[in-house]
Amino acid sequence: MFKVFGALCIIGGCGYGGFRIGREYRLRVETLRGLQNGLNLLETEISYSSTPLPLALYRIGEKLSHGSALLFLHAARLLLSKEVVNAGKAWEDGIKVLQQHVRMSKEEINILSVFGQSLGNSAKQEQLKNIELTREQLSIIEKQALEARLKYERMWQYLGFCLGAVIVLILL
Amino acid sequence: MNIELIFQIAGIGILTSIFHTVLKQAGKEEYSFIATLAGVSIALIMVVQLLADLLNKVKSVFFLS
Repeated sequence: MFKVFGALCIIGGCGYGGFRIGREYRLRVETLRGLQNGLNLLETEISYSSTPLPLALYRIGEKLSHGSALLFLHAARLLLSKEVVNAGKAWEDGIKVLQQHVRMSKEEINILSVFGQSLGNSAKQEQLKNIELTREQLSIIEKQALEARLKYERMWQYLGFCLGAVIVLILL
Repeated sequence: MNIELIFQIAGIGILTSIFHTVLKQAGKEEYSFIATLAGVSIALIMVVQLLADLLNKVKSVFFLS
């Protein structure tokens, strides 16, 4: 009886681990999509309604889904509370917060931080150009992330359960 | 001779083949090879004691030891 219970625990635990790893691939794709949406909205805020940056970031953060909203909301909070007066620095801090919640590659962080450096310290046209460039780069990375997800999400789910089963068999 | 061991090794064989297929489908040939190797070595570790017993018995039958 105890043996069966232990075996179920091990298989369940390993399977759950596999699911967690598989879920990270999905989360990454969702975050990248969210970031692109956010940049789209930022473009509108800058070009159409000329909203001040802190307020624009806050509005965008409220519209986005959980993962990517963290970056915008954190940067907006820092700027609104005047803890940080430099938009680039606030963006950088936002990236750090995002990094704690979603696993991101160095490439993505690099793209985002390069974008942050020019945020809020150039003319409207320059910023719009910059947003366009960043969005293109993010969309390329999103395609890669999607491919990786299709390939590896299912694999990790299977591997988790199989690993649990092997451990049970060896211990039995 | 316990029959459980045979089933255990059969199970490990089946799961190893699943590992191999899944990893190969995901395009990780090198890992699938390592997984197969690991499966074989685990099965070998389980059997090695019995093999030693068998050899000892053979020796004792022919009065070699």
